[in-house]
Amino acid sequence: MSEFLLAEFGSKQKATAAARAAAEAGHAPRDVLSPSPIEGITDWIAPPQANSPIGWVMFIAGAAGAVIGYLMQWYSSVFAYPTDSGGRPLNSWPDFLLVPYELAILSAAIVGILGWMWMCGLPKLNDPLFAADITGRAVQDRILLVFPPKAADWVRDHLKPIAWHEVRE
Amino acid sequence: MSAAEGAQERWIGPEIHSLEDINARVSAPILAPSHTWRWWVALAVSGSLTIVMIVTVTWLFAHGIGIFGNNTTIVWGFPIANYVWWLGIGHAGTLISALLLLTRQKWRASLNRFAEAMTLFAVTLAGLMPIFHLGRPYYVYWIVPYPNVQGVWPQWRSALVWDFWAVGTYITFSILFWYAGLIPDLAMLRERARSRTARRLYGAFALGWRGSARHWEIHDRFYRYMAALAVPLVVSVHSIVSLDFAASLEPGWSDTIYPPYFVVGALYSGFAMVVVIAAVLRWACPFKPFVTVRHFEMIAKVLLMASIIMGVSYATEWFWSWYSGNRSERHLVVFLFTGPYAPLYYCQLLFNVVVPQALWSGRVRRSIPAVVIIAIIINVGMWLERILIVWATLSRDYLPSSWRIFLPTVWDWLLLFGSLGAFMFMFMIFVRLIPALPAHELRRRWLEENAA
Repeated sequence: MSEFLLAEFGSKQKATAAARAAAEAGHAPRDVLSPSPIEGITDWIAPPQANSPIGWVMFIAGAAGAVIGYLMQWYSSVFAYPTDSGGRPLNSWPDFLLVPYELAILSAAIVGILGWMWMCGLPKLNDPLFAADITGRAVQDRILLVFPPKAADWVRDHLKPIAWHEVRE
Repeated sequence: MSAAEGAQERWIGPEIHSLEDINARVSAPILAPSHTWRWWVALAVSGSLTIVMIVTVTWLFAHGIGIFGNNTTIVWGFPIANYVWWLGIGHAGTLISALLLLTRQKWRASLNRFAEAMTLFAVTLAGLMPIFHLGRPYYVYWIVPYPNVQGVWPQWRSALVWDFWAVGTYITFSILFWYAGLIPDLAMLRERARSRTARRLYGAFALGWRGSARHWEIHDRFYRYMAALAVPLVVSVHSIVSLDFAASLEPGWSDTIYPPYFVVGALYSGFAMVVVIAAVLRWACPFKPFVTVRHFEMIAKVLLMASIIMGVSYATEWFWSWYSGNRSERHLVVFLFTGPYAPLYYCQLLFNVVVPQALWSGRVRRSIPAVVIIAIIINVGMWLERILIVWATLSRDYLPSSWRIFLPTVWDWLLLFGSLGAFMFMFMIFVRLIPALPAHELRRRWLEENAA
């Protein structure tokens, strides 16, 4: 028995229409593989794509970076290693804003890319979909709708892709 | 959309008939290179210059910064000017990529990848320059807050410590931003590469990307947030660099105009360098349908605008030095126009403000050779600006008894040209390993333009 059924399309309009037709009949594709993003196609996949909290994750990481940056300077120049620099206060806060600014951006970016990978489940070099040769074309010029086996009968009768591909494990 | 508007929105040439055309052309320099002898010549020339840089730096480390023209008055010389100049060039990559993404400029897709690579290489070279300029470069790690038995911490009020954070953040961020945009293209190469090793390497770096709609959605969002972070970062980096000068009390340096003036100057030289690289890539790779005359025209407009802002900045400096009533400030401007550096200063004004005015003409903007020549002139002019900022103030500060002139030595020039060679060398390696254009963004662009 095949694990997945891949329906191959050449244009994003046709792929979107097919995904929509299948979803409306209750046989929504599990995923869509495409060489460039297709706006709105995630409306027709199941389980539905949740709104990703990546923005919040980055925002919190950035805020934490800024706070840590400031605390580091405050602790080191007030307690750990106080230096009188031209009579300025030990906690010279206007000067101490630059490092938190940079650290906020740096930590948001680092946590952002890690968060993106985690939310996508990447790196994952051994996905079952790679068993089909056509998956290699999905990052180049073909669009593939990924159907679970239980949808196979319906989609084979109703959709008209360029070709069908079965993925076995 | 009417037909005329549709043509207006076209940024990819009519030679492209399918997505496969895009993939083949973008991966051609890596998988099916033509004219490889040209590449070898360029690699040999730039590699030799890189060796010159390595020899210079070795000599520098063995003998100290006395090999440069620095003296007791002009304690900053070429390395600091090179630092500011290279870092400026390093600004356009992330800015083109981020700001043009946020403002939905459709011409971005043809430029962002190699512009970002330019950023990485330029910032790397820039970051090395102040280290070369340290009398004791082996103590550079003292600038990092690290646990140590002496319990010593960095001096957070020092502009040089701010530099470390700004440049360190910028290079790390730029690598991440560049890599995030690169992953789908690495997946494409994983599928197209013929050798097993190449497939494995591209495959590993592509992280198992398979173009899933779920991944695209998060990727798009993440990439936009990164762009939103990149813009304030870019602005902050050269602002902080300008504080190396502005936070001092020297005449000509201690000005509030310095941060914006440096940022605009950075973009100006960076965009000029993008023009040069775009022209070389267009000539050497099958990228003509992607890097079109219209792209050069757009950058030319940016250059024109920046040249005007530079002109206003120079005039503002003159005005405020007069208006301040401060004798040293006024003297500095007179010194620039009449002193021994005056020929260089006139060249700076000519190259940065006068010559680019030719870009008012549509014919000039649409001529690639003309735009490239103007861009090279701008880069020379911007380097002159950087060196004169260092030289002029230090040559004529408050104490007349210490007034001196800077005379560069051969090592100064070798370091400058060696670093140019190293930049070119890294670029040569880059174009043969990594797609110089973002194939996935071009595919998206092409699909939008051919949605009929």
